[in-house]
Amino acid sequence: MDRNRNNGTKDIRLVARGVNRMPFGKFLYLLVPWLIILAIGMYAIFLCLAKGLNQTNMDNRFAFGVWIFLDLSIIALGAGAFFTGFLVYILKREELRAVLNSAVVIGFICYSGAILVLMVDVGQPLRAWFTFWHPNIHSMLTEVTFCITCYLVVLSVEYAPIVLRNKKLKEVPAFLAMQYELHRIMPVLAGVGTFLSFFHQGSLGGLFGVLQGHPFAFREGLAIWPTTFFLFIISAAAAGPSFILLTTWIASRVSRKRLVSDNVFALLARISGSLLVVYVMLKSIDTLTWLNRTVPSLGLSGIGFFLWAPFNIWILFAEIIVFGLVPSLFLLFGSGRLRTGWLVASSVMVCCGIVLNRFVMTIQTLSLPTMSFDRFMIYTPSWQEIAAFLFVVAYGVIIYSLSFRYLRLFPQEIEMKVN
Amino acid sequence: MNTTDAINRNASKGTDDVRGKTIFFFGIVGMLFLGWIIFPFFIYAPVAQPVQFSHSTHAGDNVGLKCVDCHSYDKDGRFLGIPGTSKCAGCHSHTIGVSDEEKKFVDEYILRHKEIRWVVYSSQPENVYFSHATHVKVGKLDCETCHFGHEFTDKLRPARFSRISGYSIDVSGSTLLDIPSTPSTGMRMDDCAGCHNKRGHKESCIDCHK
Amino acid sequence: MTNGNQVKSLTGKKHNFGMVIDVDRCTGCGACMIACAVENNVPPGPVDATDRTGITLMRVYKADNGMDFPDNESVFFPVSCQQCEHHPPCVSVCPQNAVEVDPATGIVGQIPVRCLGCRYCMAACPYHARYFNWWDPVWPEGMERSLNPDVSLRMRGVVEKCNFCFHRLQAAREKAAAEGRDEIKEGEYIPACVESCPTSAMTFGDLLDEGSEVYRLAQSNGSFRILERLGTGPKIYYFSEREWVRNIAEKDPASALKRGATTD
Repeated sequence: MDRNRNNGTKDIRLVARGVNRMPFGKFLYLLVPWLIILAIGMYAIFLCLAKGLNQTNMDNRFAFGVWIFLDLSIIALGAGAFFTGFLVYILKREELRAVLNSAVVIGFICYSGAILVLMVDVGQPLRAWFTFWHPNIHSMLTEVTFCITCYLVVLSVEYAPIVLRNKKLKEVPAFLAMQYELHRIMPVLAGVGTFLSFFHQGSLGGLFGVLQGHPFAFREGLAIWPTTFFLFIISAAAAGPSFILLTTWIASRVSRKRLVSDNVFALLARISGSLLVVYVMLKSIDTLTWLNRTVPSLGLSGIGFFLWAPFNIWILFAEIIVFGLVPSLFLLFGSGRLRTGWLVASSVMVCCGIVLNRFVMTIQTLSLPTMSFDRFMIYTPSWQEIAAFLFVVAYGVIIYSLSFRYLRLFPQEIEMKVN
Repeated sequence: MNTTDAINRNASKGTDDVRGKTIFFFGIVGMLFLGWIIFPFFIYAPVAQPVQFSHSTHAGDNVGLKCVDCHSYDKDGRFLGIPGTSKCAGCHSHTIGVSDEEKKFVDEYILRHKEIRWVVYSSQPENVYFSHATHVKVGKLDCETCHFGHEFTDKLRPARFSRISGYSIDVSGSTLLDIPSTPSTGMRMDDCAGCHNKRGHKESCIDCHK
Repeated sequence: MTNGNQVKSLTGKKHNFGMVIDVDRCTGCGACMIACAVENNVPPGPVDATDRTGITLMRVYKADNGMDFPDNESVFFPVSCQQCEHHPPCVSVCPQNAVEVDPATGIVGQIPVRCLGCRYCMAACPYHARYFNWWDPVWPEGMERSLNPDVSLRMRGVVEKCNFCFHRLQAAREKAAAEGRDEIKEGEYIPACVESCPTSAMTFGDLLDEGSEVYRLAQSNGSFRILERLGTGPKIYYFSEREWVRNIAEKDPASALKRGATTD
């Protein structure tokens, strides 16, 4: 019966047994817009590499622009990979195996995309190895560089068995054997991945928390790390499952299939919600400490940071209450009761909240004046920056679509079909 | 899995291990040989000197010149490097008749008031700062400490420049476990740093890099 | 961490070079900016460079007392790298050790050839004293012959900043060495900006030398530093007789808003 249903697909031999996929022509047709974006983005990246970063609108003040913001955001959203692996392999939450493969693919896309953009973002990409050869161990960026490259390797190794289990590739005995061997070391990889992720998610927060020159971003430390180190870990761990929930839902809507059971959604929502409640609490404590202790000790008034339009006090309110507390309560208390649509909407808000937080840390930090005779500045990214940004999005959509079509991302898909 | 299978697997695993280790060992050795010994021959292009010159003749007993007789400093302490032909003309205004090379030098350069475009073995990259005065006059180093053996050479060897960076083999390259990647006369960054460390001078990057 | 006292420099004595800028004397003429650019081979920049993308290792800022005419008074702050002494914000952030404090002189050195161009140091610097080479350096035909041979050119994609004309210190040391001295004399080494200032508003010297003019001025009553509260120990001091000028250095940037300052 499946054979008949898949008649329209020319690439039937590559599609996993027991699942239905849309006709090949339609699949290509849906990918065309993304391929166009990919091509434009590639041209923009080529321009930036060939002509230099003068193609962007970054300047000496906005040394970090929309790309660093993008990196921080997608690395936070890609945290689902490590966190799901951690939950499945270390804490033995077997239910989440249903989204584990998908989470790995998402993580792989996010990290490879981030590294790709970073390589365009630095002025001398060919010197990238300097950080590995002459590392400054005091720099948060060194920690980030080491951890994200190592973690990308881990993710690639985690991705490999999923690819090798493709129906066609499986016919090669060596691939099957390799897939089996790789599968056995998964718990180890999950452990390593968790360790690496903890450090680089934290270091990305530390990146800004250590900026003693920018009181807006500077946070006092716990041990050797500023508090943003811990806040970034928790917020990424909270956003990760939300993003998995969101992408699973989108995949399920686009393919018009049920991919996971509702209780997986509910579990993801509960995990995300409970972590987010903790995060909102800690973030509030941190913000209050910063406003009432850190900033006054530097002879400034905390409110002074929020007087500069368009980044007024609303941004703090939006970040903590609207996109923090509200969705966290929805996810936490609504996970068993609310319909999936509500959970998805809340997940969108969680992701927005995390992205907003990363925006505040990068863009708002740099826009605020530090000296009294200094100016408040904003910056508009150039088309090349936006195109490179969208390149990563298109790249992600294409990789995910291909993986969804040819690999078995959702093991529950077949049983869902029967029910 | 049944027992026979397991035994077979273990047995073949043993031989596989030995074979794997052997391949790994020879792979590493081969790579090191290729990268450390063979590769420099391809990456550096030889450039011949326009005129031959014998340091051993000039610094030897017959002539008896000291290094600073030709390689001197200006009043600000800047090292003047290789002398111009006017200095050579002090002795070689006309052919003395010691060699064919000397005749060529006098005819083509001295009599035509032309300068020689020497190929400098030790020319450092643009971003390197080095002061001869500091090393020789304050540091009390002999010329031979870095240019060892140069005064005894009878011929000027061809200089070799990297085809990629354009740097001379004498100043580029690095050391790994104290094994230099390229033959050198002691003017790579690692040589500088090694000597400074040995003498207890702790410098910053900007002391040598401008 | 290197212990400052144990460091044996090539030229023996330990220095801590610093500068005092008398802003009461500064007319904001910008000669220091020009002298700096010429001395350090800063390229003129292409036509589409702006004041936000151009390179001004020394930059003159204007500030005023916020009053209306006729009580309005203004002041100019020449701001270059402040050569921070304690944990300079740019040093610890650099992922590949391209920035470090020279223990023998206290000068914060930036090595463009080691720089990857990640620009984290620029984000870290509260004085915005670091500049990125957004373009490859290009000089108008013939002008490249006027380049300073003691300063290397920086390629596009790397960060640069003021290093107190370190090459001038090298030249002074070399001259001293040639004359058989292992120590430079006071006044033998001054950066180009100090040399160019027509009103002699800038004084340069060794802050450890208690007999020096720069030490006396830095210790005097009217001296202050910008953003001293951050605890980075900048080694560029400013000097003014006027109290409101001295207060500007630590004033909350937001206070400008109350006077209706524009937001760009």
